Amino acid sequence: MAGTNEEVSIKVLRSDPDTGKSAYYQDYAVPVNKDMTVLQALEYIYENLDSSLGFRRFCCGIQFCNSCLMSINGQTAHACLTKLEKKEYVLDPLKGFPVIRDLIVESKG
Amino acid sequence: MSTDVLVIGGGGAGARAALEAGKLGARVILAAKGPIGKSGLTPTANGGYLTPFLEGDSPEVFFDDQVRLGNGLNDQRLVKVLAEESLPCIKELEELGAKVSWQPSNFEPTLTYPRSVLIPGKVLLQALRKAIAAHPRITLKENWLVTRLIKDGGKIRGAVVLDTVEGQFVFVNCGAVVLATGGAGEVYGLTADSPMGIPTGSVGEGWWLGAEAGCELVDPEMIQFVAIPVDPPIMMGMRHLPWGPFFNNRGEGFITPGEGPYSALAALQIVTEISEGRGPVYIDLTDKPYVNNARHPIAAARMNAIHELGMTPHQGRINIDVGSLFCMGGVRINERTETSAAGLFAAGEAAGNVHGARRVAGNAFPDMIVFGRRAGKFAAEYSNSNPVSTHKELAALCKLESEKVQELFNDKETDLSTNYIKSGIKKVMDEHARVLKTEESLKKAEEKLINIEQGLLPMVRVNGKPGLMNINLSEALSLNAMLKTARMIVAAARMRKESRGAHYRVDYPGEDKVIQHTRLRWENNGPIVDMIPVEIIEERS
Repeated sequence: MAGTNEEVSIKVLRSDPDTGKSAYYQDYAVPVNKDMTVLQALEYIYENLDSSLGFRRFCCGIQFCNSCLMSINGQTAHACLTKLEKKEYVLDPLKGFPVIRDLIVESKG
Repeated sequence: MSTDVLVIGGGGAGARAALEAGKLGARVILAAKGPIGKSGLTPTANGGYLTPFLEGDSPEVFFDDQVRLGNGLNDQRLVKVLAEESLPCIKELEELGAKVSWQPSNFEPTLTYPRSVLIPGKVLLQALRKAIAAHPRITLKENWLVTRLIKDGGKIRGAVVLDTVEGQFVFVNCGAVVLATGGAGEVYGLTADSPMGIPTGSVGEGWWLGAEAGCELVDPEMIQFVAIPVDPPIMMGMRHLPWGPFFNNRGEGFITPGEGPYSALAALQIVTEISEGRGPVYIDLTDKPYVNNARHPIAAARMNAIHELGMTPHQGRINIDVGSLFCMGGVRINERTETSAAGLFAAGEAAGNVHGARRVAGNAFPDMIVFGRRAGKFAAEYSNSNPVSTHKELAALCKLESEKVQELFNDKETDLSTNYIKSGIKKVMDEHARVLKTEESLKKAEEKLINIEQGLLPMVRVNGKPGLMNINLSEALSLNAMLKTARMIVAAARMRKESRGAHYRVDYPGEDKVIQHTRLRWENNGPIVDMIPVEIIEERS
């Protein structure tokens, strides 16, 4: 990555139906330059900060599969198409689908 | 659980195999690591499908093109099947509701005919998934991870599977198994198999499942390498660039004119510039207006999306390197997709060797559909003659796997993350076993891989708990297979002391007069490799 001291705050809704605890936002500080996407930020978090994070870990590379659809700052959007240009992102699972855990929702393919 | 045919893998080959076996009367379980159409490599492909549909073209011309472009290393019986069945197979897909674009096009200029039609991976998979989901005899499991194949009486009779949502092991008794687990390109860090740097899980798990069960592999060192963007980070591994021109750090062009995006020579030239200190190599079209002249709708859509992200070479310089794309070799099969382990069949990128020393662009799709279909058919027939029975030790086998998993969650003397191990394997392969291979580099690769296996792998610690799709657990369970697959690739690359197609040896730059396959088995804790002649089918010369 190009050297930069910029950090973006990524807040992810964590949930675990097994424990019965209510969902909560976990805040991660991700070092970035603007040429990264939300999906890449999630990969960074998983690899370097918190391997307990749950998300649909897949990118078709042709913006065609909808695997990375989620709620980004309140709007449904593709994580692979959202560049990290803001200072803060709040990520919630895609609305309207049963949540397995964190950002993983049930998928019908 | 019991079934007739267990299909492992939810890409095009696995989906087609499951459907065929079901149609022929078998009960089928399709076990995939993720949702069909949103996992693996099939959805990432351009969608080219080579087929002899044009006036004047024929399976015979198709065959000749394939063997010529494969540097004569292809298994000719498999090529003959591919040439003959490519067209009927795509017509079947159309009948299933998959939209095919019959406009001829060509990513490969030296083909006798521009015989590529277009059927994007997602479109193909949507049609197959719909048929599978509606089929009464097929059970679709999109969160199952197969960890071991089980033999009984010398035949493959079952598998141990982790249900990644329930977090429990399931034993599946079956009459036959189809391996459709895709490729192994992600043993490299520099790879086109992880779009945007996000893994597709292509670490060769199926190669290890097969090898552990006693299968032969053929030509596992034959891996296609292509130019990939590496910087800026969004573009990592996304192979959608306009083809060239590429420059080194002196602003000089160096690619031989006429070489295209899938050219092994171009890949060699790019790594040579970088390794000799004339990198970074880059593409820069900022002095030219952006024009989307992609001929395929998928490629065009892709270019538009990248343009919106501000990432085309017209908008800024893009640095490139060379990464893995496709495995021509794999689990060795005959025309009936039988492997050398009774009861085990294989198809698609997991199997070999249809493509020889080089995969022609657009041939991965016919390969997976033609042989996926055959695997379903012959697995169903086999299971009919070798019906499923309940394995006596299934509870004990599941318990064993559970205990191994439990161990992953325990504290170690030094806890290592899965990412640490994966990065270590990838670094070894990138540095010592990528395009510029030598006896020395491959020997070093083997030593370092063994060190990782013995010294680091036992210290992996997994976060969380089993179940609810614990990504870290699934990744940890794939590490052993990834290591073994890397070792198998290295061992076979060492055995092939020549340069042919995608395989380049700095210390053996010429091509042998006699064309041979490498053949590999895993025995006594290590790879055993020999070489066997390529069979020339009698009726062709």
